[in-house]
Parts: sequence; C-alpha cells; structure tokens
Amino acid sequence: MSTDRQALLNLADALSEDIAQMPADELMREVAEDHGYANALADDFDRIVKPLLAQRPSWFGMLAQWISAQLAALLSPRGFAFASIAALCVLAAGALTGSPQIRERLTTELAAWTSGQKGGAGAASHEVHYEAPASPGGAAAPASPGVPAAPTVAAAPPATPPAAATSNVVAPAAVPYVQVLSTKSESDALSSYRVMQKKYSKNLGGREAVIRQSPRGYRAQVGPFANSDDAKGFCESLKTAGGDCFVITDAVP
Amino acid sequence: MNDGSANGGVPAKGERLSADQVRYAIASMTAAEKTRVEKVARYFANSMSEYGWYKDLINETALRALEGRRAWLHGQTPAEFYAKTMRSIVFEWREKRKADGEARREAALTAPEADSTEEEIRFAERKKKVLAEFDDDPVARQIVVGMMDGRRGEALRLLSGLDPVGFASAQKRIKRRLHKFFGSELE
Repeated sequence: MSTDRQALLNLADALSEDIAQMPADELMREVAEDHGYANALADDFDRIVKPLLAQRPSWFGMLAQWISAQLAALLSPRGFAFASIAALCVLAAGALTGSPQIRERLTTELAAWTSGQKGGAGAASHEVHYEAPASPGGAAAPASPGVPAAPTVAAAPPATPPAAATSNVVAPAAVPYVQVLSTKSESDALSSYRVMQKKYSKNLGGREAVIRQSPRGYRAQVGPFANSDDAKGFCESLKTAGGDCFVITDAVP
Repeated sequence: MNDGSANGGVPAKGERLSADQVRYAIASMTAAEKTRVEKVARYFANSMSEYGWYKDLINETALRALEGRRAWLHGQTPAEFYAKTMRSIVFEWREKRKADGEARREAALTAPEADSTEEEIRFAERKKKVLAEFDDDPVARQIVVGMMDGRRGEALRLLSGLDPVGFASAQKRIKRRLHKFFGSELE
C-alpha cells in the first residue's frame, strides 16, 4: 500500500474516532453550519437505506399491524373477541412454521396490540417504572410500508458511562423535542403512540416518534424541531386538538 | 445464528441480532447516529479517493448485516457497528483494487514497480490537497502530518512542540477544518 493511501486512511481513522466521541449537539450544530440544516446528513442517510429496508416487507408484521389498526377502534366486547381470535390464529400459524423468529415477531405484535388495547391514548399518563434496557433491535416491529410513520426507539445510555476513549454512545441532542407520552414499557410506548397517531392524525399522522428510555420508563418524543418556538407551536396545536405534551430541550431530560 | 429464542426472543448482550432486529435497529437510529455514520462513511470514501462510494459503503454495511454476513452484536451502537464494518469493507475493496491493478499490469507486461499508476497519483494529489488547507498554519500542518502518520494524543502533541493548552486549542481548530474539508468531495 502506498504511503499516500495509508496516510489518507490514517486520517479517516482519526476523524472517525473523533466523530464517535463528539457530543451530539455539537455534531448537529456543525452539520447545520456546513449543510444549511441540522438533519441534512441524517436525511441523506434515510434516502440511502430506505430502499434497502423496504426490500423485504414482513407480511406477518403487516398483517398483525393491520389487525391491530382495524381493531384498535373497535372497543366493543365483540370487537375484542374477534381480535383475540384473529391474533391467536396468526400466532398459531407462526408456531406451526417452527421458526423461532416468526414466533418472536408474532408474540411481539400481539403484545403490542394487546397493550395498545389496554393503554390507548390514556397510556400517556401511566405511572412509570424502571425496566431493564432494551436491545438496539428492540422487541417491536420494524417500519412497514403502508402504515403511519413508525415510532423509533433510541438506544438508551448505559448505566455506567464507558471510558471516553472508547465511547460511541450518542449523547442526548440539545435540540427541542415534544414529549407526547411516557409509559412503563417500550411496547406500551410504541402501541400508545400508534393510538395517539390515529386519534390526532392531523398533528401526529406524518410524524415519527423517538422512543427513549429513561431510568423510570419509556418516553415518546416527536422532533427534533428547528427551534423551541416551532416545538412550542406544535405542542400548542396538539393541546388544542385535545392532546397533552410538553417541550423539552434535551432529548433525554 | 442465535436468534435469541432461548432468552424469550431478546438476545443477550454479545449475541447477534436477527435480520428483523437489524432492520428495526437501523430504522430506529437517531438523527445524531445517522449523522455520525454518514460522516464516517464520507471520510472512508475520501480515504479511498472515491467520494461517491460513501453511499455504497452505507448500503453495503446495512446489506451485510441484514443478510447475516456481518454480525451486529446486541449492545453494539449503530455508529460502532457501521464504523467497524465500513472500515473492513474499505480494506476489502482496497485489496480487490490492488489485485485488479496487478492483474492488469501482468496482462500488459508492464514492470511491477509501476507504482505511479493513475490511482497512486490521485492519492498523492488528495493528500497534497488536504495538507494545502493548512499552508497558512505550519503548526497545524505538522499535526495533520502526524495524524496521517497514525500518531495520536501525546505523541501528536510532542511532535507539535505545543504545551497541553495550546495543543488542545490547535487540535480543536484543526479538527473542525478537517471535518469540514475531508467530509466533502476533495475534487
């Protein structure tokens, strides 16, 4: 390998290490300066991976989400009974295939659906409790085409911060978000947000929520907003529509 | 492949994520995480003298994780997983290009010492261009040369001859400039 080639790689290594340790707010500020707005690179990333993530839509997930969406509105005992039967049929089909991944997925979908039934929009006022950190993969379903913008789960900060030299953990961004609900579990947060999306579709329909873990539970936050005025405006319009929310300037307060 | 079924569907720390979990982990990345990955991909692409490759790097990394060709371990942050995988892809591509170049030389019966190929010239030009950014600041230039030699931390400070405070300030100045410059196309 030529020395020039190696020199450029060494430089890339040094800069990559630096980027891994840079606080999120500083990082986003630099992007805003260099590219005009803070999410310029994040948006580019989405454009690159979107086709890949959409390549193999999981029909099990889509089916379960469809059942969940259709029946979430039916709160009658008849609707509940039908939902239970339908979900159990799907679960049994997964079990018959013998695939642990499918079973895992179906169980998750069912759990998300049932917690959505139990929690609903009112889950926003759930008392919060500590739960073990979730996996980056989480236990919930990935985004599927044809459904409202899916909530996302942010990696939780570790209980003990790792040594600075090796840390890659993303620090909370000092940009405004709007917190719309907090619950005791990740699946509750996901399903409650779906219900909220449906109820306040004008405000939340096209918006993606970030589910963040706090020491006492999970919080669904919408954003980031360009500035706190935008965030306040969004929150006010959600309140006018009957929802509840508040603005936070740190992603994980 | 461990699918985590022994642990109620949730993989234990250090176990690899399933394709669906990888899909979900990517879809769940925060804006800051995506930004880190984008920047690192651009640096590596520039180090390969092929800026446009950064998109391929991001895509190929995700593809390998989804297809199970590269293990994304539970507990690994997206930035960590992407940085490690993209670096190894850069090495693979580099080796492949090197092998292709050697095959072409052999086919053309050119001398093996023909290191001054178009590609090598391009690398030399890129390096020169990066260093030229610091022509007005000899100390900063020296630090960048040290970084290109693979030096870090104290070894870099000693090379610069600056005291810790002066070095920290110079480093901040240099890195901002480098991040901006090396993160965009060097043409």
